[in-house]
Amino acid sequence: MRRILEHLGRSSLLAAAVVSALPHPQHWLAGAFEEARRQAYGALPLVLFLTGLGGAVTSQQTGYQFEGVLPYWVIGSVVAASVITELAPLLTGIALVGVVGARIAAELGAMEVTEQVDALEVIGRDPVTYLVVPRVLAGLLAAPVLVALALAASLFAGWGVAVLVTPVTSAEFWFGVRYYMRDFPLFFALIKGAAFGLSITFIASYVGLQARGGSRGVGRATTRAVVAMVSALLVLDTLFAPLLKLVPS
Amino acid sequence: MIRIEKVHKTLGGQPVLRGVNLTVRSGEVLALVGGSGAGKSVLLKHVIGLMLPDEGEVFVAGRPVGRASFAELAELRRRMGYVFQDGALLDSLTIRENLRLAMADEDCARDAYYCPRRIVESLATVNLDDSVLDKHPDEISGGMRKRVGVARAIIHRPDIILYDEPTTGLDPQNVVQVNEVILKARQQLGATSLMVTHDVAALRAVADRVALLADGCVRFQGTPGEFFDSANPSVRSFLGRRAGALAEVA
Ligand SMILES: Nc1ncnc2c1ncn2[C@@H]1O[C@H](COP(=O)(O)OP(=O)(O)OP(=O)(O)O)[C@@H](O)[C@H]1O
Ligand SMILES: [Mg+2]
Repeated sequence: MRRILEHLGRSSLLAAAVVSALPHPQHWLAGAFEEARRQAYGALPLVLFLTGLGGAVTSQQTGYQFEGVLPYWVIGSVVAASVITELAPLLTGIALVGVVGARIAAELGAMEVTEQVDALEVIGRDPVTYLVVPRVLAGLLAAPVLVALALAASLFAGWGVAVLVTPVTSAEFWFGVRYYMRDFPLFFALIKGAAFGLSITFIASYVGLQARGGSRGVGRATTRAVVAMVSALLVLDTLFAPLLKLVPS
Repeated sequence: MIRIEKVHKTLGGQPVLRGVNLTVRSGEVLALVGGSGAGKSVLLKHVIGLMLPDEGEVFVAGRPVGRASFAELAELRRRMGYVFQDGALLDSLTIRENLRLAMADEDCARDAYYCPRRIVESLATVNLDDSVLDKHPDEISGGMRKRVGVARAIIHRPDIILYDEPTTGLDPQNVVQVNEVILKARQQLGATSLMVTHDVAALRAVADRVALLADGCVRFQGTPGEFFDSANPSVRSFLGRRAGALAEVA
């Protein structure tokens, strides 16, 4: 319990430090864009792969369950609903944990245990401004873009599978998708993506900087970061669900 | 210039520093010696505020490092240089970028030629040429990294410089070169230096005074001459161990 409070306290301090570095974009802007590109390109293949599969599976399941019960275009709506609000953001988040979060935690952990973070501090460069801010802002930027691409990938995969294995026609499927997709769920998915990107990169940075004690310490920190990131992802996901209901459809 | 008062520090449940008192006078080179694990690096980190004492206080230029505000500490550090024992160069950056990062942005903004010139200049003082500039730290040798670390510590012309074993792992010629850097910093910049070293042979040439850290306390302070002639048991045991080790190697 004390450990948890301690982590809460320290991570709030880090969050405050991140916010207070924001007014000095000359120190982090270039780094943030570079890092955002790195995150987006790095995670893209896995994101497309996971969400494509996710869309295909959802479509198949839906198709089997609804056969002969409801009009076929409903398959499009159901696939869109599960993919947009749940599947695409969550799978994107999981891909980000593996590709980006683990990398950040290990990177910062290694810098910490080799005194590179101390060195930055000594030469008068704030480690938070130089190391954490670009990574966190990059996550905030890259994740929604990835979610958008993930949505496209999973919808197309869902469409392909639906047309192949169920009697639904393309026109019916896309009608169903459009029926479900009024502007809000898209926006919701992107916001969710941003929240995931922000929390993943923040947790990875925080836990990475806590690393102590050589390469074993870096390994421990990376494991811990992954556990914390996955847990945070699911907690956030749960918290987001009621938000969607708040909005009249 | 640097005043360490009754500093205690426990790390990992072990008391490392147990009431260290030490003063480094303005413009002198003080060599800090002691066995491996005696707490020399830990003490140095207290001087630049990377570690805070459990008890006691460190004053640099009259200001308490442990109780300094963020801005005060930043201002103090602008006047200070620190050579890390293991180099601690940023390995995602080139040598050029590493050195550039250690310079104040204002200095570089005022004069476009100042920074590149100063980078080459500071590398030259540690016997490196500009062929290393675009390499990353893992593409140069350990001794070169060490010397880049020295260059980084002096590039912004600090007047208080802390060296953690600047010559360990260097070939004899570069040991002389780095020792020269330390002496030059004193002569030309009037810098105050606190140097951790295992190079007992060079003490006479480089240090104005020597302090011995053992059992968490400063057991001896004096000139190199006094140090070698001292009958102090801690000094004898330290030097004896050295002599023994040297004999073994020979
Ligand atoms: N961050 C830390 N956490 C726990 N213990 C530490 C830490 N840093 C140093 N120590 C311990 O403090 C003691 C002194 O370490 P220090 O690095 O200051 O030794 P040193 O005198 O510099 O030795 P050397 O000459 O080998 O560099 C050692 O016993 C070390 O294990
Ligand atoms: Mg040491």
